[in-house]
Amino acid sequence: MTARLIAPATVKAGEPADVKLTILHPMELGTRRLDDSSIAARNVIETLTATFENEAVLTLQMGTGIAANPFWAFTFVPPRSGTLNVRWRDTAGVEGTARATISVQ
Amino acid sequence: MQKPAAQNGHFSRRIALKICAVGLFGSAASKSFALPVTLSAGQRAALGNIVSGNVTFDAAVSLIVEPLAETGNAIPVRVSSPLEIARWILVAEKNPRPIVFDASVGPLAARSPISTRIRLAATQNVLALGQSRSGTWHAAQANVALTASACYDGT
Amino acid sequence: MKSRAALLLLIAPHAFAQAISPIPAAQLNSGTHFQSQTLRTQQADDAQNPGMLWVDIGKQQFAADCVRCHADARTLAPAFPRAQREGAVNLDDAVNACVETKLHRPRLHAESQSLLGFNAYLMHAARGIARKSAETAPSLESTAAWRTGRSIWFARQGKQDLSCALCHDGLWGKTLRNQTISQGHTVGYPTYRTEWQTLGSAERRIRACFFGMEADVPPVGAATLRALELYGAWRGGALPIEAPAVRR
Repeated sequence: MTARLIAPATVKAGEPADVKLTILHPMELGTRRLDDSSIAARNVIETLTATFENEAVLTLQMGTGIAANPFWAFTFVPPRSGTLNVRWRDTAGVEGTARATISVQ
Repeated sequence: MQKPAAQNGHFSRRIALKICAVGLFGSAASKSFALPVTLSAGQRAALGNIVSGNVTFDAAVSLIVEPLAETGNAIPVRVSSPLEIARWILVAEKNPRPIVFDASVGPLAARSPISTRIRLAATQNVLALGQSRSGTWHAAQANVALTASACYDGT
Repeated sequence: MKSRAALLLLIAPHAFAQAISPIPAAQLNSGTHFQSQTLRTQQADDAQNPGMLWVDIGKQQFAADCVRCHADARTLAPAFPRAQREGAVNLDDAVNACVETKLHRPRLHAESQSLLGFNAYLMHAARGIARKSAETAPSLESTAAWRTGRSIWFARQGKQDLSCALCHDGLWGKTLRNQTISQGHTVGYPTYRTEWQTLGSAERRIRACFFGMEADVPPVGAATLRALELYGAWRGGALPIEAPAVRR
């Protein structure tokens, strides 16, 4: 799955890192009619987890109420240099991941 | 045509509360300003037993969303708090699935504002619930009017 | 439907009272100018602009398939749409010509992630650059494609008896239902429209306009649509490319 995870390469110790994430996903409602007049099955990203060096940052449960191509912005304070790992899963069971390395100075 | 995403607040009542709270915040006085919220039947039904105990509207939780949305497909929302928050829940009671998101927040992100874009099926109140790390629930609510609902657009 | 009838009543007196003339260069504005601040902010920040997802897709495809021949991605998009012997050709046609004849692969479908990706990447690479269509005047104006495009632009059509020119030359800046009428330029395409919930081409937008006018919607890839795109690019003058734009 295509995604854009934007995080600063470096932050000052104790300061928050701004994170922005966009995922290519239709967040299909289960009501949209396709060209062949069938209906696209409901398929949404249901869970998303962000961790930094195995510490929980954000765990999201979501569904049809989130806009297509989900956008999330949040901040967190990295306790040390490391990697932000984001992982998500949709109704069809397809998983996606994105990562960003942040150095604390 | 449209005001920038209600940065200057959309409920004058909330602005007033915020101003009041600023001076007294930190002296544990926020509670005396808190308005107990009567959640609507729809909101209670959506929340089931997720939220137990009192929920209060106060300046401890802020919800920013535009009061007039051009389509129901992608409405920017932002929740934030001066408190450390452990959990955020966003409720749109008139959506087919009213819990828009339920976020558990780790200590590293306890003071993080959270922004996303949501779908709304109809003009309605959007409710943001934030649970502080000590367990109390705080709420903010804002009405969003759709100027055209394109939620189920088949283009 | 009631609102449409009301709209006609509003438009008609204006339409007959004033001759429709091209927009003076100093007054040219892309669709961004007519959007809400919320959408303008989303468009301006690459970290928030959902169209950047397709720019990334195109960037990878271009790096894998195209850089051997095309060292500078910035120069490609501004050359289109253009008039060729066989008619007007847009950027999608040019990409597909390469895909077929150089990469020996089947043509990419209109609105496929892959074709939108190429188009978005190339248009994004040319951000801030004006299209060449205005430069090639007056020779462009002598082409059959340009003349065809122009005649469609001014032709009254559909149940509402509207033309492109009526709204986009004559009534831009005014409000139609709850939307401000733009000048109808395509420098922001492919564009992310919240109504579509995805990125889409200028062709898709133009076809939606025909649908809105309750006129016959030309099929995807129609020569008439290409001619209209060419004329539209020409009337956009020196407006800089600003794709991927974000619209309601």
